[in-house]
Amino acid sequence: MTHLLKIKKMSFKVYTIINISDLSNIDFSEVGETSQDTIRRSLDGTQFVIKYNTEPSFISNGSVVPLQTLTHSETLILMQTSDWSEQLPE
Amino acid sequence: MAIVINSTTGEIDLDASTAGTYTVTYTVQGVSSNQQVTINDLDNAGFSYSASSYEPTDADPTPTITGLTGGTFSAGSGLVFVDSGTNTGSSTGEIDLSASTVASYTITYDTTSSGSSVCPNTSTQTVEIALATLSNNKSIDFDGVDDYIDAGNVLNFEYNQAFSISSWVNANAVTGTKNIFNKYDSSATRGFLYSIYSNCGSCSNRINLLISNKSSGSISGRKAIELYTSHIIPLNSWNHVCITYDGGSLASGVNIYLNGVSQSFTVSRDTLGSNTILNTESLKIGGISSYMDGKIDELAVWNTELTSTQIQSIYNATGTNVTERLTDIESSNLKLWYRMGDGDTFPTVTDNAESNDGTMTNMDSSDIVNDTPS
Repeated sequence: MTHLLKIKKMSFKVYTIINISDLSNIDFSEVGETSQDTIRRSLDGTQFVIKYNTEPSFISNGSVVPLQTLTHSETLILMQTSDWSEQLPE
Repeated sequence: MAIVINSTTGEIDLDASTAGTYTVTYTVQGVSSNQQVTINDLDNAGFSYSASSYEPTDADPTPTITGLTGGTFSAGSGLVFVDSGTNTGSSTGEIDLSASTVASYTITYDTTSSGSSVCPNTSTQTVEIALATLSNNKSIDFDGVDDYIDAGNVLNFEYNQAFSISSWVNANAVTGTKNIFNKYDSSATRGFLYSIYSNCGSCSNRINLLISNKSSGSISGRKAIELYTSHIIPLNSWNHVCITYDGGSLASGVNIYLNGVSQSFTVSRDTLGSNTILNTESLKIGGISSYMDGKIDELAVWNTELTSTQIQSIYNATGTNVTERLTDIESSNLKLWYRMGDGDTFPTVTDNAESNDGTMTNMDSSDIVNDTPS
């Protein structure tokens, strides 16, 4: 049995980190996240992630100013930091 | 018709002779004496099944005996005949397909027990009992950031209940822990969780299982089974991972198979005891706290321990765009089977075992991809 390596597909190209105080300004119909109940929050609860391909209106009109705008690879690195990932006990 | 005989000793070569009645003459000093010798054919032990391969769900096949009737059928261990209830002593040869183990068998018909037998004989036929394969064209791709499938509060296995989890995984990268399958309350550190794990110092990409009542806080207060495999799981390729647990509250009751091969593992905790692992969290695939970066396909859960033979058959039946029909394996104990894209309409991931459909969360339809184990 062989196992073929195939090219990775990315459904969302832009990831942003948003301050939790802006949560109520997020229109979830414009982002990849399902709802405010399913977002990934930082461990201290002060930030969260959203992702999109087309810049949402709440960002383009200045209602929400991202703390960081990242690629997928950059986001993966950030998510491994102690601010975002609680390691299982060893 | 001929008889082959040594003219000096009179020894008859039965293998070289053909059946028939012969007069053998012995002559010495011009005096002859005769004796009639009859060479009988071996019994005709011919039989045949209608096919060389069957599925467990097919109608039980009975062979046609083309030779002498009244003999008995036998086969290797694992095959079950309808009339005898085991693999020997069958007079009909009818195979109980659903009761037999998936494998290839040599079935023997022996005429010894036939009342008409003159020269007992045997014949054999190979019959394979194989699971039907299923078209497999899609898997689900997780971004490692916040993608997951939410199945709701289902599969509440207790510490003393056996279970098996079968999955195909294709991980892009593993830093820390990538959770693949869990029913786990992170606050109470209670439940069960299967992940790819790189948290053990110099180790990386190990398959990790946590069955926990409490896995944090003081060492003495932790009640959990936690272990990780010695062998790494290769990245950027499809691998079949199957985990079984016997419900015995000990790490020794866990087996982990990678691509059909049982793995050795390191036990970091074995203190679960008779402590509940029940919780009210959703069963999630792809993430809790740490998220899977890669693809998952054909994920299934049974409330029983699968055997190594069953696990190998799942692995072996999977090839380019085909996979195992998992309802053929311990169907009454199959509690969840997500095809992971095949037959699914975003955002619903259909449960092909019961009715525990999942919901793709923080994902979109393009996360169902045309990439499967091959």
